[in-house]
Amino acid sequence: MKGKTWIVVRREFWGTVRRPSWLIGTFGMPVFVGLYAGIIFLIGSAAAKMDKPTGKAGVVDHAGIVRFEQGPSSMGGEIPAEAKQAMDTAIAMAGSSAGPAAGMVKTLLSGTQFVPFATEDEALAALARKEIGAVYVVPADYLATGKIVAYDASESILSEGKLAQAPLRRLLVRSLAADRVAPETVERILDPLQVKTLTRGPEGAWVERGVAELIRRLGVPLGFTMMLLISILVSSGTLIQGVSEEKENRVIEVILSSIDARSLLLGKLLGLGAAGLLQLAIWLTMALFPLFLFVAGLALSPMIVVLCLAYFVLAFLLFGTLITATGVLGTNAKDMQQYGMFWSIACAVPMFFLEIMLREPNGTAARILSIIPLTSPVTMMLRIGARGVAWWEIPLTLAILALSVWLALRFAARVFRTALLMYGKRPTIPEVFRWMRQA
Amino acid sequence: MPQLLIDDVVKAYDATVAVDHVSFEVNGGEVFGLLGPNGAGKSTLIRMVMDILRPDAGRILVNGQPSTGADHDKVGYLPEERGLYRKQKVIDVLDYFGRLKGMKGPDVKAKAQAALDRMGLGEWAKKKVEALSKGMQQKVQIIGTLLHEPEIVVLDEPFTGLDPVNARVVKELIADLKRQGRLIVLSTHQMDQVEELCDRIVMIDRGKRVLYGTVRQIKRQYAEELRRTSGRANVVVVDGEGDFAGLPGVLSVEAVGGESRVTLDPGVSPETFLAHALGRGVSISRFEAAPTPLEEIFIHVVTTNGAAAA
Repeated sequence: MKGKTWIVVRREFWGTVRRPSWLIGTFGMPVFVGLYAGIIFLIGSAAAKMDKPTGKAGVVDHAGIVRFEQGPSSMGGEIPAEAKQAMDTAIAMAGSSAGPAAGMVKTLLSGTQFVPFATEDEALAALARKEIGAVYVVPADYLATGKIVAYDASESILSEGKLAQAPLRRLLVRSLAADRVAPETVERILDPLQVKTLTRGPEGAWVERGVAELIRRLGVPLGFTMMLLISILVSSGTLIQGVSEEKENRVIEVILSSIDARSLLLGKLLGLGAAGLLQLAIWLTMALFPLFLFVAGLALSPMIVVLCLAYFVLAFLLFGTLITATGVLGTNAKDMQQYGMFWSIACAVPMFFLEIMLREPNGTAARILSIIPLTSPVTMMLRIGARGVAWWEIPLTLAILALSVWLALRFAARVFRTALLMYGKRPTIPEVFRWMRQA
Repeated sequence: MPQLLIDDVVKAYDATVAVDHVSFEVNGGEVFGLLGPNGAGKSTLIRMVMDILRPDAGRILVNGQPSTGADHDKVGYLPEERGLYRKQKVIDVLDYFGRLKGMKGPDVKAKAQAALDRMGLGEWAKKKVEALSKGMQQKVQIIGTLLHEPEIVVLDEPFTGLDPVNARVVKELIADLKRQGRLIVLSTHQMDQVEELCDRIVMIDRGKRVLYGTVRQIKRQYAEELRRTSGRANVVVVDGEGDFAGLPGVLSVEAVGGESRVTLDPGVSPETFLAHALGRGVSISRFEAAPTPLEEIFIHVVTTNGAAAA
């Protein structure tokens, strides 16, 4: 990098990260999120004291059909092992202080233990003592009507009583089928559909793809995509503010008499971009650290991470250049922000085709979006995750992106130089194209 | 070899030719005036010298070589559109400007501080630019232009916004730069300052060069033309004793200091007046034909050029 570009990089970076607005935005945001979480925690703790989950429900069986089981009855269905582990961890971290939410998760994971009561009065007394979370009364004419009366301690839509209804259904099915149907058949009645999905792999063979596999492959590309979109949105303001500074202070003519427009643009892009990325990194580290640990625990493919990083960097440079160059066409800060917003939206366009790309990562739409520089980064990151990329597409699209960055810098420098020298006049589109042609 | 050569330079914006085949040269140790009415093409020409804009045709040579990015560091530029980073400290702004002009090492700030001290702004070094008055900011800008000790100095309206005291400081600075052998291009509308400071001038109107030469040459050339075309009267300054008003061909006499400023009838030359005075035995210790003010030449050329273009 040329010496003068480096001088601009240093000035823009240090000038930005020392600004009170940057410091407040960077460190204030996690503090705000922390305070927000703290308030929810306090309210949750208070609620937990009032509404501690019991994991039990009382049953008064006037019909005499219920066959009570040892231990809790689960909700049924299959919860993926990774998801169950993650929820276990969440409960361990939050403890009972998370109140109703913890109760809900606990009920989901552990199921409900049904306790028999002879009379409704005894059951309701136990409910009043909070020994159980709900009471179900099975009337004598249940077989004829199918109706059951429920007493729920909470009005919440996620109360223990409501969550216990699925396990109660399973208990009643087992009770009604007992001695009449073979136990394996009962299990199939309760859980008749466990799907194992096979899809075409990269070599054309049918392979099984579970939820964990999907998270492992798409987690990183989606994470980088979201980071790219957020970083472009966050940095566009900083970039435009940075270039509008020279225009608003009318200092640009002095600067351009000392350094050529391309070096100045590159210096600003790198310096301001680094400040924007640093802000994002701090937010991620402070606010989303647990998410990082979770993702890291999924044994990610280093190749996917490296490729996504390469697309991320090139995309950031490309969109940063375009945002900066078009931002200076505005006559005031509001104009500049709107021009910059256009590119942020352009970057997100492939997300509109997410479903198509996941279904057909090697399809025509995905391939076309991959070679268009503006849509290439996000498309390629998603396709790499979906294993829909031929090996030669990666160097090809990286080369197209690198060339696009170089061309964008070249043309943007011309627009940048001329636009910055114009004060108070909004250029027309033909004028902009003429500047791009002119040396 | 001239230090700065502008050779047949052309620059157009669409159908408007801002600079139309302009040529001139400037050497070290001279103050060169770049004159012209608003919109004449001066700023475009200066921006091309500074390599901010590129000419469509022609050459700009610095020390005999085409002007390149490397020449940025040899030039100090004070543009007409002036500005500083308002939220930054004065010393930091000067440090940044100096480094962009190729200054290196830890002593850039020390040099900037010394320059601020010389201009009477030493105590403002750590203040933000926005705290300074307009005149102070102007001085900071001039320091920023000269901090890297450039060979070529381009000053576009350097006296705008300065009070008489600070204007004198800047004039002394320009004289000092000239003594050091620097090349100074001075663009201004203040003709009295051009007369006072410039050795040679070029005047541009509607993109074309309309005047070029030493101030003395141009004045001499246009004194006669102005008399002929606009009937402008000759004026002489006389130090002596006698009735000047009673002499033939005298229109009016005005006492200025200890001297008399005598306006002659149209068509009467200073030589004729002097012959009359000596013939009548008037005592004269000093006699001088008052030069035609550059301002009148400026207005005459612009008006004539405008009429011709119409």
